[in-house]
This record gives sequence, C-alpha cells and structure tokens, in this order.
Amino acid sequence: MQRKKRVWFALLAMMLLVVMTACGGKAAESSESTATASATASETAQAQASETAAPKKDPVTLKVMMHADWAKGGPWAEIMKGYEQKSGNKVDLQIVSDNFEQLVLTKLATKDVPDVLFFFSQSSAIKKLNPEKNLVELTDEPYMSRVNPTITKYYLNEGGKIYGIPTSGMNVSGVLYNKKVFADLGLAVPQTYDELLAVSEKIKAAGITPFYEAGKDGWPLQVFSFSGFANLLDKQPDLMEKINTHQVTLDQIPEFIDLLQKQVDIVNKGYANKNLFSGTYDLSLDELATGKSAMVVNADWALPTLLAKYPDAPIGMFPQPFEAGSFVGISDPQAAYALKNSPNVEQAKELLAYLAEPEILKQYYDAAKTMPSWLGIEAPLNQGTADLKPIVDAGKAAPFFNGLTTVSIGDFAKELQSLYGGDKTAVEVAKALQKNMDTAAKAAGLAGW
Amino acid sequence: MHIRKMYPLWLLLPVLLIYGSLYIIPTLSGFYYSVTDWNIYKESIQFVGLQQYRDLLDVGDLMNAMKHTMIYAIIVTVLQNGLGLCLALVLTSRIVGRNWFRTIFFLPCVLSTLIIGYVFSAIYQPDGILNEFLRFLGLDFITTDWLGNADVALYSISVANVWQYSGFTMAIYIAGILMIPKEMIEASIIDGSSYFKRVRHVVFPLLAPSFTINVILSLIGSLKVFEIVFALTSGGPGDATEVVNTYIFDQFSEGMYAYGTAANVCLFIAIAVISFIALYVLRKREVQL
Repeated sequence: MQRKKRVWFALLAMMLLVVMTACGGKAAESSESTATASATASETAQAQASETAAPKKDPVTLKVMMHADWAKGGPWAEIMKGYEQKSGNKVDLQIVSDNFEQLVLTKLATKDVPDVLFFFSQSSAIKKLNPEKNLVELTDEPYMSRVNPTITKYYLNEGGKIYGIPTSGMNVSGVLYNKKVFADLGLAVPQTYDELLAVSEKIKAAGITPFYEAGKDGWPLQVFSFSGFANLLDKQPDLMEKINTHQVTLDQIPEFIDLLQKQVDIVNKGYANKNLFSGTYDLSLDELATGKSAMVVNADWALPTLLAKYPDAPIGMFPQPFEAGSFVGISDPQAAYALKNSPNVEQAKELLAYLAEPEILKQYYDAAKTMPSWLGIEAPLNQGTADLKPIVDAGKAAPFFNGLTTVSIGDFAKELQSLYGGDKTAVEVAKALQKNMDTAAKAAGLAGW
Repeated sequence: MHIRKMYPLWLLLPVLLIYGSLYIIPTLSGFYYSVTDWNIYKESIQFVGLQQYRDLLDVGDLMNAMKHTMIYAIIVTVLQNGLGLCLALVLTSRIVGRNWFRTIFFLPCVLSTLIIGYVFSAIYQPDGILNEFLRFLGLDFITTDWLGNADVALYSISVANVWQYSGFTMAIYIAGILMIPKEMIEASIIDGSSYFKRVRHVVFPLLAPSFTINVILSLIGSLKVFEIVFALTSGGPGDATEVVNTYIFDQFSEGMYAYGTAANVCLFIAIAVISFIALYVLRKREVQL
C-alpha cells in the first residue's frame, strides 16, 4: 500500500515537472500574433464586378498571404481589387505581422496552405518551402522573359527551376546621407574608405554624429558587409561556389575579415552614435532626416518610410566607399508563389499572370518608387534610389551574399553585435558564421561537409 | 478508505486523459525527436542516437546560455524571496493602508510580461527615467545603457523580473505569516525578544513551508525564463543575455527542430535535477523543526 502510494506520488510529481517545464517552450510558439487582416474588396466593388465582367468559371476565393511590411510597401489592396473586378474571383488577403516565416512553414507542414504565397526569394528560403512538393514551377511561363535576368539568375529559383515572380523592386544598399549636412560643411561624396574616414572626422568636429548605427535592432548592421561583399564577388566570381561547397571557410577569406574590421573601426574611431545598442532603425531615419546624424548605412527601402514622415528631407545615397568605383549590393526582391496543393491552382496561376501584366506592374512601381525587377517598366524613383541607378545600370551591383549561400549563415546581426560590443573579434565572428553554416549544411546533408 | 468510497479513482480519468494527451505525450515525443535528425531540410526523420547532444556540447553555445540562465535564476530567486519576505513582514504589521499596499504590490504579476518588458525598456533607455533619476541625484557615473551594456544587461532583466513577481512571493509569505499561531509571537514578546530576534527565531522557522514553495516556484520559473528576455533584449547584445529558452527559440527559427528539442531536454533535466535537490534540502530543513 505504502509503496503503491509512493509510486503514484512519484508519477504525479514527474507529470507536474514535465508540465511546468514544457510550458516554457510552448510560450514561444503560441506567441504567434497573426494579425490576419481580411482585405477583400468592398461590397460595391463586388457588385460592380458581377455586373460588368461576366466570369467564365464559378468564382472562387483565393487566399493570398503576405508579410505586413510588404503590404505597406505597395498598393496591394487596390491591385487585388482590380483582379477581383477582372476575374470575378475574390481575394482574401491575409496579412501576417510577426513570426511570418515560422507561420508559413507551419501552415505548409499542416497542409493548411494559402493559394498564393508572398515569400522571400533566395534559394535558401525557397528550399525551406520544399518547392518540388509544394510550389508550381513557373520556368516556362511566357512572362518570365520580362523579369530582369539578374533576378532570375540569383533569385526565384532552386535546383535550376524558377518558382516565383518578383513582387517588389530591387533594393540597393549603400550609404544614405543628409545632403544639407554635406553641403553646409562643404563635403564631397567620399570615394574610398580613407576618404570616408576623413569626411567622418570633419562631421564629428562639427558636432554632428557621422554614422547612426541601429545596434538594438541589429539587422541594419549587416548591410555594410552586404555592400562590401558585392565588390568581392566581382573580383572572385567563383567565391560563392567555393563557400557553398566548403572549399573555403568564411574565416579563411582575408577580404571578409578586413570588411568586418573596417565596419567595427568606424565605431571604434568614435564615428558612430553613443549608446549604440539602444539605436533602432526608426531612430536612425529620424536622426538622418533631421540632420542630427549625417549618414546611415542601409538600403533604399528606407526611403519610402523616411519620406512619408519627412517629405522634404534632403536625402541622397552613395555606394558604400571601399575603393574608387565601389559596388552596391542588391537585395532579394519578395516574390509570389502559387501553391501546388491548393484546390484553386489554375486561378492562382491566373493571379500571378495578372500581377505580371505591364499595366499592373506600372501601377505597383509608380507607387513604390523602387528600381523595377521587371524589364521595360519606367517608373519614378526616389532621390536616393535615382543616385544609385546609374551604378546598377553600369553593372556595378551584386546580390547580398547571405542570399547566395545554400544554407543560412545564421543570425549575422547577433554576431555583429558581439563584434561591436568587443566580445568577439572579426575572425571569431567569421568563425561563428561558418559554424552556423556547418551545422545547417550537415543537417541538410550537403556534399562537401 | 472512506475517501475512496466518496470519490472513486476513475473520476481522475478525464483529467489524466487531457493531461496525457496535451502535455505528457507531446513531451515524451519531444524526448523521441531529440534523438532524430528532424530539421527543415529533411523529408524523412531518422534515428541518429545522441548525435544532437554531441553537437550541442561541441558547439558550446548551449553551455553559455545555461550559464546565463543559472546566474539569472540565482539572482531572481534570492532577490525575489528577500524582497517578498520583507514586503510580507511590513504588510502584516499594523500599518495604515495595509490591504491597499498588498494589492498594489501584487498587481504587476497579473500584467502581461510583454507589457512589463516594454515598460522597462523605456525605463532602461540611455535617456530614460532611470538614468534621468540617477543624474538628478548627481550619480552620473552610475548611468549606463542598461540593456545595451553587455556587462549589466542580464542583471537589468532580472531586476524587472523581480519587480514583477515579488508581489506573488509576498502573497504566499503573508499567508504563511498569518498561519503562525498568535500565542507563539506573544510568548516571545513576553520573553522580551526584540523584533529582529522574533523574526529570526520565531517567524522565519515557522515560515519554512512557504519558504520552500516560494524558492522552488521562483527557481523553476526563472530557469525557464523566456518572455521577459525576449521582450527586453531578445538575448542580445550579441549573446550577452542568451538564456536556454531564447537559444531554443533561435534554433527553431533556423529550422533545426531536433537540435532545439535536444536543448529543451537538457533544460528539462537541469530543472528536474536542481528542483529535486532544492526540494530535498529545503524539506529536510522543515522536518528538523
């Protein structure tokens, strides 16, 4: 009897412990705040649609999922409304704000898929979607020939097949600068790294913060290396191939170490904001627009946000200066994918074709004012973007290197925080990134590891 | 035996069923997944033995996170119990507005941890309330970037946690103090004990059961900390405040499911061992009384 009791007690105690500890892990997953906004067209629009365009098939409701930031970047609600009127189908626009990637992957795993998915376009991201099984291949679609070849070469594809269409512009990285500050101090745009330091010294002497670094958010710290690596890719065209087959490790690339060192030197020389680890992306734009800081290293995706708040801010861009004729980095565009397992595959493909129509693209780029990912689209550009367009047109542009690795390099931003905080050296950061790649590559069973 | 007649054991079944299906089975399956190679890149899952655990030890990041978690747990457990006990002693003495104060101090623990996180990140800003206050006192040399400075960030977070849950600890101590027979206190007063001697030799020993439960709860709670770290620093800057649960969260984001699960099992074992030892030691103390 006594013994039985003891066993029961031990069992219950065990259960209690299991529950108490298990809950901790679960909290992370349940915090998926999925702000799902339904943006189906207004009722009047639907009424019009049923009157004007006589739909051929039974109308269906297409579930379209995208990230909240992307929904803000373009007139998607209007574009989808246009599609509803033309096709007679309805669009249920599901906008996700947090844990986007995890949510998408969970939905795929549980087969609760949208019909059209807006997602990242690097090969490593597409790989996570398990494209063979889940995505409709678009390689032979007629509109594919109108996509900028740089984009189709580096992005949208996995294993030699194209799965998505670009749904945003090419964002270019470089230095955003306050033109008024430069003009007031009589400064010219620097061409080399040494000139950049000289310019920073003068700005600092004038009592203005030369660089505002968003150390708290972390991700903006990565852009410096993205731009720098673009120069490297030009000089060593087979570098990515070597990295992806494990012939060279990141800590064995002296140019990469040098790049990280140059980045942290700007901070060590006192050219960045004080209290770096409280700096946020939003604050960096405020500081730049108001002239409290002179430069921010980032990409031209910052311009629409900045100009919405400060329409008259004198903001321009120049390539991150390393040497004369420096390259700019190009980010992966977002892309739209049709899901194979959706019951409305035909309509989903139809929607992609609609999004690829020149008038619709024009409608998007007129509003977004970024460099089009499609050929033959003339759209107005924001000032900073226009500054960098000649450089892109001259072919002095290469993609962000983190999008070119076959597996993820892990949390680069976190490693850079360690670098800025003095906890790790440039070599140690490179080693840590390589370690992340090694882990993922082994998990994926890649050749060479 | 009477009890069994009134409440037959099978009445436990529905609860055990829910418990089992929602908690026990997922947890046990977690043990299973930690010995597989389950990750986002794999179509099928294979048994790989203790490979994930070997990798965890090789990489060493988990040990770093474990170290932070331990430091955090010790600070929180000590401060939360110290502060909770002090508050309980003050709020069981005859002071005006006693009930009102009890409510006020208890209030933070019903707030969402995320909200507390946002409030404290405003307080801890370089030009936030805390630094302004220190400057007002002329203590400029103490001011720092409380969450951005890698040397103090972990301590800043633990203070926020202590602030939130001291009221909860206090409530349990108050209940414990009110259970102490009045005669014992009166007897010690008649014996001419000072207040502090009374607390040390009469109140505190009789609070042992409350002390045990408070220490165990705060220990387990702080070992599996996630939300407050996530809200305040997300484990940064760098990995200065990386605790085990934020590390696991990162692994899941990278799609390394089995690896993250293995880390979770390590945390579970650590919590189980520490809790059992603490429980054993504290229980022994109770018995000796």
